[in-house]
Amino acid sequence: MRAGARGAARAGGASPFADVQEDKDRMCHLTMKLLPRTQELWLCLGMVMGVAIGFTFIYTFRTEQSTSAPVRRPHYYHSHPVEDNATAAELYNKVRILCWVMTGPSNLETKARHVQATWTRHCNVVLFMSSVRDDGFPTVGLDVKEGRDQLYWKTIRAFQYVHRHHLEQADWFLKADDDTFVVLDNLRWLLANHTPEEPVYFGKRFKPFVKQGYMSGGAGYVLSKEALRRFVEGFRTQVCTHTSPVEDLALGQCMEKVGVQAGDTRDTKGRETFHPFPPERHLMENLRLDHYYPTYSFYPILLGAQSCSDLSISFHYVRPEEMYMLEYLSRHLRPHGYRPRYQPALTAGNRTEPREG
Amino acid sequence: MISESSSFVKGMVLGGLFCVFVTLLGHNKMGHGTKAHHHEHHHIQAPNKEDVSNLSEGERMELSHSIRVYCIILVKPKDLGNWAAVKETWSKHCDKAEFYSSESVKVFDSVVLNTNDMWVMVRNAYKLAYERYKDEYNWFFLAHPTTFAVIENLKYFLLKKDPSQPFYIGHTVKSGELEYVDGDGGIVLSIESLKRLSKIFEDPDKCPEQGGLIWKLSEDKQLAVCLKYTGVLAENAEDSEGKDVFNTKSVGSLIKEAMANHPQQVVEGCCSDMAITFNGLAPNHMHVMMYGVYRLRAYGHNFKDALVFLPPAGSDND
Repeated sequence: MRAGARGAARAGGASPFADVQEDKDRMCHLTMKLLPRTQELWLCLGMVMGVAIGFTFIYTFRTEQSTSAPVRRPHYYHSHPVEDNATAAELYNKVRILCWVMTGPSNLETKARHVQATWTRHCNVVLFMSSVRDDGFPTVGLDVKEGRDQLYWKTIRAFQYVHRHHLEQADWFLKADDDTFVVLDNLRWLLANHTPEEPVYFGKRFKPFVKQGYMSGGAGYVLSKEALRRFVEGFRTQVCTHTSPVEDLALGQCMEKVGVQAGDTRDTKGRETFHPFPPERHLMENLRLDHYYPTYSFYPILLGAQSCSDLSISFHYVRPEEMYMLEYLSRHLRPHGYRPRYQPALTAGNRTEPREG
Repeated sequence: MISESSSFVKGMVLGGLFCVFVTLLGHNKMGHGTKAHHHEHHHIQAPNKEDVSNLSEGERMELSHSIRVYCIILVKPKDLGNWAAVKETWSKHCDKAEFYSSESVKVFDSVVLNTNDMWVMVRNAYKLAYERYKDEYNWFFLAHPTTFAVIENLKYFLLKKDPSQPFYIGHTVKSGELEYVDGDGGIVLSIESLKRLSKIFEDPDKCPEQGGLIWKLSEDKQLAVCLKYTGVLAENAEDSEGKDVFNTKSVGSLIKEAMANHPQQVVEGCCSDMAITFNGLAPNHMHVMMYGVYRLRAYGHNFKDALVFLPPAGSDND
């Protein structure tokens, strides 16, 4: 079509618009050359856009699919109880235990907090004893200073405090450190065989220095109500005094003086329940070869699996992570359906009528 | 102008079609189109507590005996400490446990595989296990010597699952399109899955013996690929609260994470009451776990479980 116009223009000869027309013609010619390229260009651009949009669409669609698909569909079961807590609940009411934990301001967040989050939840009453009162934690502020040499003072003041303010709230009084782990239900099983009127105290029994032996402080020890009365009375009458800063030994000497019996806490198969070390040391080491342990251990040392009762009550030098782990292992994780080898009965001595107060 | 925009539109259409074509091609290659499932991640749950509450004691024991677990533990001489610990602890609770070793070791009996390559070890162990025990066991559990397993909880988990169906269970991980069971947490196959696996072992294209030459997959991924060709997909095992029961980490590690992430609910949030495996344990830790799982407990809490398991003979640490 244009060719015709060009042709006409050329045929026009010496018209005043001839140059312009020629330029125009040249431009058209050029444009014609470019035109297919332009069309190709637009085609290419279109394809790129198409691919880009397409992939974006598909990607979004797939992501939506995966996020809309339910990741977790919890099944809500009717609570059909598989667990029967009756015995534990009964013991909780019959064998009331007040736990006091020896701690200090610098240990509150690093150690005491984890004790508070785990085993002390199962005490009937729990008190954290410190040199400083802290209503937030909460801790009791005793009239003592911090330090290893103050441990017996702290113990004396703590028991006096408990005697003054909490005597009627419990039958048994447990002392533990902030790195002691205790299984309260197993302690109740042990104590169910005794009465709080007996002058007796229990723990990991050590043999030197005291004729009847004394209980390791770190492994935790528990006094009957009568034992607590005699301890406090002993200090009131000065029969007992602050003889040394070694808390467990000094207390053991006082106990002997006031006629409180050191009890045997081994289970019915002779295995220890209170432990001065974490489980790994007792289970894996031959503690008969240890420097001090044979000198201290009141009873013959059993090795391997026999070193720890199924119904162990305490372990010492337990780090925070291990507190949670022992809580999980003793109260949560279990082999479903498994009948344990050791299944002792709750032997004679337990009453059926509920306590008052 | 019109012709240009029409070219543009034509281009877009072509581009879009190209996209769709490529995507479909990709899907078909991975066999994704074979399953109508849009669920990206597969979960499988523990049985309902009410499921077996009306059975008598005898029926419970019978049911318990019907779930027969064969344990394969893959070991190498360097694992001797853990090998001993596994032998002395949890493996005693398998109906049968055997150690498949890369090479012969004087101290312990083992099934010698004569290879150091993990994938070849896995292949050959499964092959041998199927050949020898296909009529005697219905579930096959594969583990590493750093893993601690509670077989009773595994059996409890498998309670209502039919072993003649293809099951491939554990702690799953997604890698692109592939969902596979992480070997660190232990791998559970039903007899049906093992049967299919044995068949696909004979196909060197789909399930090569030596893995890829250029790009070698880890043995747990390779296993998933082979199983996928037979129509068996990995499923992540969870309890009724959605917690994983197969763990690729130790209790200690999980506790530490819980202490950092939810310090108010460490034990509650950490791990399942019916956990089946933990991994990354040193030999001493295995013994502590054995004591903590089978022996240490709080007095006065009694349970009426669906199954009944008695302690194994000749053992004192459980």
